[in-house]
Amino acid sequence: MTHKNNSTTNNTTTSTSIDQNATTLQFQFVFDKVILNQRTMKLFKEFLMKSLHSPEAILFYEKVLEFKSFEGQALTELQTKLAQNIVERFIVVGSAHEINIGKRERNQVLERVKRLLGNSPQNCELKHVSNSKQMLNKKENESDEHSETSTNKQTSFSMSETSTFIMVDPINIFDEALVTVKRQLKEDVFPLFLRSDRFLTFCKKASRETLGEIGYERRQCRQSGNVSIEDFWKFYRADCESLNVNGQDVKFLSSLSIDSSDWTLLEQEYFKKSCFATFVSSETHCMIRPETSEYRNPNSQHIYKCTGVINHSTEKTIPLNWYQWAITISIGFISIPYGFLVRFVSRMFLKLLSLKKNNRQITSDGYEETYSKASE
Amino acid sequence: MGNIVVSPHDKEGQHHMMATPTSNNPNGGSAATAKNKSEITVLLLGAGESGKSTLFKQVQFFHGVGITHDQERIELIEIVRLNVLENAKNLVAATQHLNIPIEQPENRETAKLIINSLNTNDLEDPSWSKRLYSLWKDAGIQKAYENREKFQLYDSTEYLFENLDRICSDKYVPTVVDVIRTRTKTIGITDMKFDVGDGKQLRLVDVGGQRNERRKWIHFFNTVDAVVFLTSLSEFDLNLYEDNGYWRVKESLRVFNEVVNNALFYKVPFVLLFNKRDLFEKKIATKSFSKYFSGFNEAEEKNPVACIEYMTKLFLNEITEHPLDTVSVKTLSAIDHDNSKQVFEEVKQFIMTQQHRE
Repeated sequence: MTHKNNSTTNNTTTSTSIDQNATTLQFQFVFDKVILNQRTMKLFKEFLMKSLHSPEAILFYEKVLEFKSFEGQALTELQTKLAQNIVERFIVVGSAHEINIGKRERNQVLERVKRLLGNSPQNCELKHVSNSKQMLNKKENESDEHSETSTNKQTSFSMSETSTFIMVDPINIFDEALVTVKRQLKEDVFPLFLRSDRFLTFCKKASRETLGEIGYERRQCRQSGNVSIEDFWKFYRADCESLNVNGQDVKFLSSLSIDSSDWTLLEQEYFKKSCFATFVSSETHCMIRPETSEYRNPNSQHIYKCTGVINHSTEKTIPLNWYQWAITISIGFISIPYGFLVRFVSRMFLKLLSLKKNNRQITSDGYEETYSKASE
Repeated sequence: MGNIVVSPHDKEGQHHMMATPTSNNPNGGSAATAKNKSEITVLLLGAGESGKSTLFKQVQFFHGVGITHDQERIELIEIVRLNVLENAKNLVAATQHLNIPIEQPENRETAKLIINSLNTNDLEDPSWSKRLYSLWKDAGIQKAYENREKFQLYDSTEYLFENLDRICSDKYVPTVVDVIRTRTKTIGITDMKFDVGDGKQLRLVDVGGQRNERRKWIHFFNTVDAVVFLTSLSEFDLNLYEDNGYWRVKESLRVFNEVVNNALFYKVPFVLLFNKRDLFEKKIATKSFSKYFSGFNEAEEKNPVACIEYMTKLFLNEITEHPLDTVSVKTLSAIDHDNSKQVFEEVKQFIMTQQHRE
């Protein structure tokens, strides 16, 4: 794969950004599918290593999967070595690729691995576990206290805390840490990854089927066109209010959607103080703006962002350049004599017409009315 | 009126891309051209859960580059719900750990389900909103919540439980406030760029704060033009996530000491932000502040201004190398949109004037 050359500058990003939105927004990508797919997993790994400088989480994930991939009840020698390797590389405080887990998970893993290795026939010792022996002793004390108190427990469901010290299948010793690491990847890194150049370039080249493998197409009904004003206002009130957008604006915008589904906000860049939001529709060919916004002066971008009620996009305005001005003004000048001429001619014409009609003596009521108005 | 309409969509597109990480090559030789360059790199630093990412998200939002599209917010539904479940799990686990029974039998049932089988898709069912809320209101859970300094819990817990009726609905789309309030642990280094006028761009860099994440900070140290150090005011009764038993204030002070006295930052403007002022004011109303600081006058402990002054002194005492006139101290409540906007604007001004002076 040749995704190494990912851009650090904005020049290249903008070129990909426009049409990517069209395709990627149609899909909702699923984390679990993305990391199971070989190609996207590779991208994801690259993204973590090169853009976020954080290779440890994904490396840990891969190693644990490798560890878990062995079959059979008892651990092989290779597996215990691997477990030891994982602990030394990822778990121990200060290790080369220390992962971001809490003390609870860390001690849990260390304790389990220590027991596992103590019981195994190879009887290999962990170098680093001794470093954290103090921690572990403390932990054991805690757990003793805990098991004492657990007898009084009214509820009797299994907690990870207690189950640790009862019995754990050796294959699952890293599970809690793995869950934590996976959640970090999913919550923090994944949304960023979806917006990264790496992934967008991939999406651009990929076929619909490939994209379908790592996500599913969005349900169109999820679009905000179907949200009622009441719901919308209930859900977004806090957002809107913080941006000086009120219920009136939201109502107004949702009323627009009755006429046309395709309104655009006219962004007035020329007049830096955009004093009210004006909406343009290409379907109904008209421009409209909320009455209330005139004296409150809310930011038009805010109104637009707060109200997902209609399908919207932004249109920009730019100032005219000199020859456009020249054309406009010359048209204006040219139209003066024309206007004069047309006015003069139309009078003559009407007079002529009325003379003819009088001659012909046509008596249509409607006609006479319009005629009399025109002559006034 | 002298305006013509052109090119829909493209502005949006640009903004999106600016929010994505562009930091593939941080050591790309920009250090050599430190003067007169068009890009100002500002690092957000601080220990874990000090609010770096919250401020980062706020800045994204008021520059219009955050996740504002409905479709993009839909992606975050699961994350918000995971937050809810995580909080619920932590609370239930805490009731066990602290030996506080959950009082109502039906809430005990709910707790069992939360620990064993509940996943985020279940939360689409509105009936969960009532069940979770009733669990939250259970006297046992509330008692555990009052003792939350004894275990690890997110600051947004109360907010999320109070908004369950929205979150547990199939129509749910996260609001901007929801996005701000969700806690995700930051991994690695992310950045965003935006224009600040005079043809200059500000590049804001957000990092993870836990001990293992701090080793990655070094990637950006030699290209830095300003440092914003965040510390949480409300952490005075809390212990570290990565090392339970280690006092968070001690850790913050240690990290601050390392950063502020780093030789690379001698000439760099430095801003110290005391975050979570809102939480702090609520907290000192019920908890004793002086219990944690032996040098603090007990009579003053309900006065937030005096407490903050004390904390400021504590932090400024750590400064041994950095010139004090390029250090600015402010308080912040990063979850508050207006406040963070105002404070960030001040920080920006401070950095720009310091740059100018050089």
